[in-house]
Amino acid sequence: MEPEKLTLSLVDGRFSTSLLKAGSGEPLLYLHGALGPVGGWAPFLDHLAIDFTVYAPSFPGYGETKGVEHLEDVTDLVLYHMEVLDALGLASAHVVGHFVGGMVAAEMAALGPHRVNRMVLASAAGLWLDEFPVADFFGMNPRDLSDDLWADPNSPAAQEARAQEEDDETRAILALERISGLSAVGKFLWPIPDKGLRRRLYRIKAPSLVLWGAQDKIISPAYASALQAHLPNSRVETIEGAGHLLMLEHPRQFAERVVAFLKE
Amino acid sequence: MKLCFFHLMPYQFLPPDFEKRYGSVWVDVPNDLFDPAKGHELYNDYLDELEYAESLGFDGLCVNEHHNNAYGLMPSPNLMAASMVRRTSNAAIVVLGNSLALYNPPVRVAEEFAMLDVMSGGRLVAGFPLGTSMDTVFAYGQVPATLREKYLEAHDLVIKAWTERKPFPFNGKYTQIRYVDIWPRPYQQPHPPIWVPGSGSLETWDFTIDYDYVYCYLSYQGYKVGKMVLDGFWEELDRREKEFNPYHAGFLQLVAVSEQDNQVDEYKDDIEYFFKKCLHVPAPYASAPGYRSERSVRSGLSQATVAARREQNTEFTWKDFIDAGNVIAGSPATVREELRHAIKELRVGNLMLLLQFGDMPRERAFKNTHLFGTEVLPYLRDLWDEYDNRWWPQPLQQVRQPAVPGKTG
Repeated sequence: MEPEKLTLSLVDGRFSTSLLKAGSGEPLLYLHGALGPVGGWAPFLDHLAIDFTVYAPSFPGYGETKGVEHLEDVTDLVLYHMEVLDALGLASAHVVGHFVGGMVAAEMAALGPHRVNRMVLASAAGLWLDEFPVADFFGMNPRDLSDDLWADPNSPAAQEARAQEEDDETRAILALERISGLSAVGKFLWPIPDKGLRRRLYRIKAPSLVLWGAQDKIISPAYASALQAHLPNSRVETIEGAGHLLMLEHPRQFAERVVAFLKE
Repeated sequence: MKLCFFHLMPYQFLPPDFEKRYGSVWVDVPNDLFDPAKGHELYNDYLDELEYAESLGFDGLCVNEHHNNAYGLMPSPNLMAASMVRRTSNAAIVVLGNSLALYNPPVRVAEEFAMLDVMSGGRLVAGFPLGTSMDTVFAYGQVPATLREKYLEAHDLVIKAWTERKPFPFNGKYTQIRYVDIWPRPYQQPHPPIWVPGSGSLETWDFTIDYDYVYCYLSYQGYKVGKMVLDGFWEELDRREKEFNPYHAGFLQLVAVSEQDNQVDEYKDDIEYFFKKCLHVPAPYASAPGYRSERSVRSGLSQATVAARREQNTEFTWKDFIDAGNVIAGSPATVREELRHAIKELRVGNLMLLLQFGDMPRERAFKNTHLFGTEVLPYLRDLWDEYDNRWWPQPLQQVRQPAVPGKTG
């Protein structure tokens, strides 16, 4: 499926948001995470687009989305995402978020409950457990990190991601994008990815699926239980054989779980 | 020419296989490797070495700030400066420096530097490094993308605190204070000279040129690599049509002086400990995403120097480091000649000498300092005489010495 590329100019041009749109049905906002081949279109989004109109924006600092210098804290970040919904003409949407995107999804649901219908938090950031520290991917060497992203470093998805790094020119471009993206995301996750979400979870009305890869080495499945314990209307599901990039490693299973939940 | 004695204060007792067993000397090196009894000896040796340097006529004594670091035992350089203030009287006290974004609130820097300046009789040089990625982002949890903005705001607050004569409020993004009113205020007017250590970021050039501060390139790679960076700095200064003055820059050079050229192998262990253990830092710690601006990353300057260093540390022997210019080593005559050459190549007027490095014991450090102080330093003084050094302390003529009844010295 070839998604449509949109560019939104927000807040008098302060932000320029690049996003991909495809499918038909109820609106589904997909918010990507910090790591892995992000920002583009992927097979799992094709699956979701069968039953939903999928909107997949690039997080400020990733892809062509500009304006992260105007975002200082989580409040700014959430209001920015409300602006995105406004610009798309969406009173509300299902929100599916991965890692930092999951943190944003939860914050949106807490601060603006009427904007979020049903919510999927996939390997979502936002809490901190001393016994299970979130991996410091900012400080890891790229080789260790690239292995730790996958349950199986030899899975097709992992091999495809590695293949991108083989070409010198692509690798250089990816490196610059990674620096830009992680620098931006660092404003909201550094040094410890806990910016108070726990205090706000009680406000969430949206029924929530907390979805995790059973072999996630970046953010432990223990966080799934921790989130579920604080969320008023939620359940946990795990995908065996999936690591942190669960939607890339097992796209069909990921999409099936999400679609089934959103249609309940 | 100004010649300063620089100390890093390294821990000298890391295990022989340290760089194989541990990932880094910095950030997450476990502190069970630190023996406090040995630390007590080391701090005293190092303060002795600094005071000895003053007695030999070095113009300034330099200390610096590092955190979570086994090669630099000064998380608080101001404590070291304070330890030297009463036991020295001529040398400039060069604190290189207070990493501004790490002090909460930054007013503390204004206050402590004012204390040091007044206590020393106006001998302070105030250093404002941005700070390495290791120190700021990893050890002290600063957000890489906003570090420089926070540093610049802290700088503005410190300058205002030093120069305002009545209390004022400060409503910054990173600091909010209702009454800024520092007691004491600095001895030197309008404030102590300001030096800014950097390692190749273009923004630091902009800053030191715009504000007329000394740009100090404190790398450990010696003058041949240092020339790349300092040439860039001088070009930028020229492009902005500012007048050239060698005292606008500072540079750090490791030097090892022996009686004869063929004796320099006496420093071989010190050299290898320094380059292989002290500089054992993995790349992700050295440059967290967002620590360097895209502009600086694209300039490639810092990458080039980091890449050069990585190759050096694993492949080089102590002799290679000397050949590459990381260490200027030889008899006094050899050192005089090579150093004069380096100074002219770099066009630098403030030279910082690292004469104790690695696990060099006190006897050899004293010998190196003595040979340098008596047989090299006097022959370099005349350089850049035609230029005015407006970045040097203006102290009291007569500085107070301790005067405790019943106690001598």
